Amino acid sequence: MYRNDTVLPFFGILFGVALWYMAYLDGEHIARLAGHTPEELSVGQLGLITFGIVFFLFGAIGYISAWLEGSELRPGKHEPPGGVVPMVVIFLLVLLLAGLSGLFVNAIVYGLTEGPVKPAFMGQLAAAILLVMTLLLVVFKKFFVPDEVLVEDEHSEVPW
Amino acid sequence: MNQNIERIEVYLDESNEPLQVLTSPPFKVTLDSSQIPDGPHTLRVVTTFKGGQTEEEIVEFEVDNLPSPFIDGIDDGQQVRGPVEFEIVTGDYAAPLARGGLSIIGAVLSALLVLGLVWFYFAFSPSAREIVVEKGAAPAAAAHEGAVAGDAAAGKELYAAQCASCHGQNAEGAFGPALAGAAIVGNAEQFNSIVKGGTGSGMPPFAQLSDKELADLRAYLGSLGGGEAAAPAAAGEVDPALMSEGEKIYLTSCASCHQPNGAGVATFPALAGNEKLADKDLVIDRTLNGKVPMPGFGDQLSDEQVAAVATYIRNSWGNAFGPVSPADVAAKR
Repeated sequence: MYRNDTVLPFFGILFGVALWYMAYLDGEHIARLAGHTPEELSVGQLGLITFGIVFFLFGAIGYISAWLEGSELRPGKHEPPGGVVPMVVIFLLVLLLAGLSGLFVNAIVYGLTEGPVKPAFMGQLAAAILLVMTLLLVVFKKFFVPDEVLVEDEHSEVPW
Repeated sequence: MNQNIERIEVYLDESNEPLQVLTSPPFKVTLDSSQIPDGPHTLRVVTTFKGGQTEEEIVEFEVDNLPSPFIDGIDDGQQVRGPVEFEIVTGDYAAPLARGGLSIIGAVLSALLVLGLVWFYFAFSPSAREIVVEKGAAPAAAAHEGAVAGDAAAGKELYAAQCASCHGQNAEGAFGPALAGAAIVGNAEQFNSIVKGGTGSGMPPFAQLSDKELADLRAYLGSLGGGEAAAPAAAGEVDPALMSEGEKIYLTSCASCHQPNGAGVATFPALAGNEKLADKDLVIDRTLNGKVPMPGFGDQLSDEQVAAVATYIRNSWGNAFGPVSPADVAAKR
C-alpha cells in the first residue's frame, strides 16, 4: 500500500544538515587560512549549500506529506478533524502574514525615499512571508480540507 | 435516565423483526457492519414509553466494508485497439498499519555518524590538512624554495644529459634559445614553470625534475653568465628611456587585458615568459594590426611609441629579447 515513509525524508534532512555543516566548517577553514572571514561565500560553499537545500527540501516534503496524510493512505473519504486550536493558529498566521507583507511594502517605499535597504533584509522578509503562507496552507489542509483516497497502483519507488 | 421509557427496539432497514430490544440502561447496541451488505441502510429506533406512547427515530447510513476496485490501464471513454492489458487493483481496509520509520535511537546514531564523519574529515583528514599547507604556507614554501642551494656541478651533469642536445653544449643556444646568462635563469619561478611544463611549442615538459635538480640547473646556468644583468647585453642594449616610455604606453593601452605584470588573464595571453615575443616582426605586427579579440593600435600609436611598448614587453618580467627600433616599426607599416 501507498506509504508516506519517513526514513528517506529523515536522511534527506540529515544529509542537508551535513552539507550545511560542511559549508560552515569550510568557511572556518577558509577564515583560518585567510586570517579573516571573507565577505563572500566561496564557490565550494555555494555548491555545498545548494545541494544542502535540495536534500533538505526533499526531506521536508516527505515529512509534511507524512503529517498531512498519515503514514499510509487508506482508501475512502477522510473528514478533516477541524477544531478551535487550528482556527486560532490560522488567525494568528494571517495576522503575521499581513504584518510581514505590510513591512515588506514599507521597506520598499523606505528604500525608494530614504535610502537603500539591505538586500538580505528584503530577502529574509520575502522568505518569511513565503514560509508563513506555506504554514497557513499546511494547517488549513490538515484540519479543514476533506480528502478522498482512491486505490491506486504504486508507480514509484519514492514513497511520496 | 428517563424513568418513563418502557423499551427500545432497534430495526435495520425494512425488517419487522427488531435487531435488538433494550429494556434497561445502558441502551448500548453493537452492530456488526461486516454482516450486512455494502451500500445504504436505515436504522429505525422505536422507543415505547409507559402508557403506550411511541417515538420513532430514523438514521440513514452507508456501509463500505469492501473497497471498490480501481481499473488501472484503461480509462472511461478511451479508444482501444488490439489486445489491451489492464490491472484491477483493490485496497485492503483490514491490512495492518505498516510499521515504518526510524527509531529515535537509530535516528540519533545516524545523525551522530554522518555529522561526526564530516567533522572528522575536516579535523583529521590528511587531504584537509594539505589544503592548509598548500594555501596557508605558500609564501613560506616559496621563500624556502628560493633558498634551495643549487649545486652547479650536479647541474652541469644534468644539463649535459637533458638540455644540451637542444640548448647547446655550453648553453650558447642551438635549436633552443641560449641559456647562458639568460634573464630567465634569475627568475626561479618562471624557470621552473617552463622547464616542468614545457613551452607548448618546441620544448617538451620535464616534469620529472625535482626542485633540487632545477636549483642545480639554475646554479650551473647562472655560473655561465651574469644572470639577469647580463641579459640585455646578450640581446642588445635596451635604452632605459625607451623602456620607461614603453611602460607608460603599456599601462595605458595594454595592461587592462595583458595585466600590469604581463601574466595575462583568461583568453588574453601572458607576455611574461612568452617565447613568441622573440619574434620581433610578430610583436610589431600584433601591436599595429591586432588579432581578434585584440584591436590594432597602428592608427593610435606612432612608430616611436610602438617601438617603445614592443621594447618594454620584450624586456620586462624576465623577458630579454632585445630592443625594437622605430625603423623596424616603420618597415612593417
